Amino acid sequence: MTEFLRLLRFDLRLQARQPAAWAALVLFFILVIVLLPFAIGPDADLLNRLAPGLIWLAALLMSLLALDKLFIADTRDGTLDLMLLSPMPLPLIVFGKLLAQMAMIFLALALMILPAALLLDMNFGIVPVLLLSLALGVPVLVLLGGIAAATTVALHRNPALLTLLLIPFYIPVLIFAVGACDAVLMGASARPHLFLLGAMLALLVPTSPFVIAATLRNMQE
Amino acid sequence: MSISRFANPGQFMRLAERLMPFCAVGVILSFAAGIYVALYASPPDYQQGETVRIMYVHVPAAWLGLMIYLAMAIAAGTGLVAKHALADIFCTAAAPVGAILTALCLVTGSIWGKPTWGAWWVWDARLTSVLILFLLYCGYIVLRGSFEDHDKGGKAGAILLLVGVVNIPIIHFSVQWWNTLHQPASVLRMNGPSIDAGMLKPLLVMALAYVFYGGFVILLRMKTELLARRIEAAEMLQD
Repeated sequence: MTEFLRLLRFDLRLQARQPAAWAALVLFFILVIVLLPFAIGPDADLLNRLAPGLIWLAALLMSLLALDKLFIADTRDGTLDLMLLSPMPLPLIVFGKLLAQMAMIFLALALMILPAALLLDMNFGIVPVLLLSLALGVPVLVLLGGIAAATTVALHRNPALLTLLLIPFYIPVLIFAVGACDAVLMGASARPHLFLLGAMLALLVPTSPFVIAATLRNMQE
Repeated sequence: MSISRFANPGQFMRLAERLMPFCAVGVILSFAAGIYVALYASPPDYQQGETVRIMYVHVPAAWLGLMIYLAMAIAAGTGLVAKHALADIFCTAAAPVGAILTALCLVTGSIWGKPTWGAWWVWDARLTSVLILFLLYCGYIVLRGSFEDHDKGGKAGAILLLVGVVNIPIIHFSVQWWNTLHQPASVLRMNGPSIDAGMLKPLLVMALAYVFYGGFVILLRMKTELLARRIEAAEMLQD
């Protein structure tokens, strides 16, 4: 356990030492939010109605951008080979990496969610549910994305491939997350949607690191 | 005597030789009969009129599109566990066939939807799930094609197929919910519990034709793929 914590701290520090990569995510997220009103018109009612969906879309695209680089640096500098040889179980190492990735995305979201909500004139009543849906949904995005990132790690010349692979898997997450916010807007209960997001998370936490580990082993041998 | 002895490529080749003429005859006979019954000898629908005939092309394509994906996932699972060389060959050979059938299903559905619903595309739950199935096929084909090493590519593709098959019910269910939330049940659907026998018969004949066609093309593609890999291996030895 202490080993794992040390590894996690190492991964977090790695992320912290690359402020440029992180700033790119923040910038990307807010730029998408700024552009959307130009695409759909400045009508306040419309923006208000669409705000949770737009924020979720921006968060999803930002996660895709971040995941693209998840295992690339480790493959290039040989860290991945050391990870494979390490006496520590590979799924645990992978899980640490995924947690660090989630932390980075969450930090970007925490910084930008308020400006985004203000820009889109969001109804503040849905903020708790939106935050909850992000808290449950973003880890699902990362856990699924990790599998695709591991699968494509040997093929880093094709950035569109990761997106193509992930879109079918991201659609249910988007539906449940935005469904939760919409339910609140319409005065219904958001609980069923959030439960389903939670169920997806509960399914992926114990399985995804193992699938990623097996994939990485296959790709590196 | 188990089915797995056909996992031996030589045995498979012999089996394919024997099955393919049978499939070819089956395609010709059942397509001829199916098209005749579907286009002339079946009644028009009392609501949809003649456009109902598109269904005979559309529905079997949807069935087979989904079936091929499930078959690929089963092959991928057995391929990962038992390391049968043929499993990957089946998946590579079947994926484009499944993708084309799914695309055919989408296109014919669209053509049917324009006169019936008044729109080429509706975000109906079923349409959306088939579209996602098509994307899954595309992802598999592009991923599998990006690998030069068949061993690695086969495994990566198999993992994608397995994760995808777990997700199919989730996608189906979520899309169903999403649609009912946003749209009341205004969309016309042909899910009447009983389809008229006059329409069921041509539908089943056409489904049979599709199955023979799919079987024939997949066997042919598997044979080609097998030979292509043998040539590749021989070239590697020469270098």
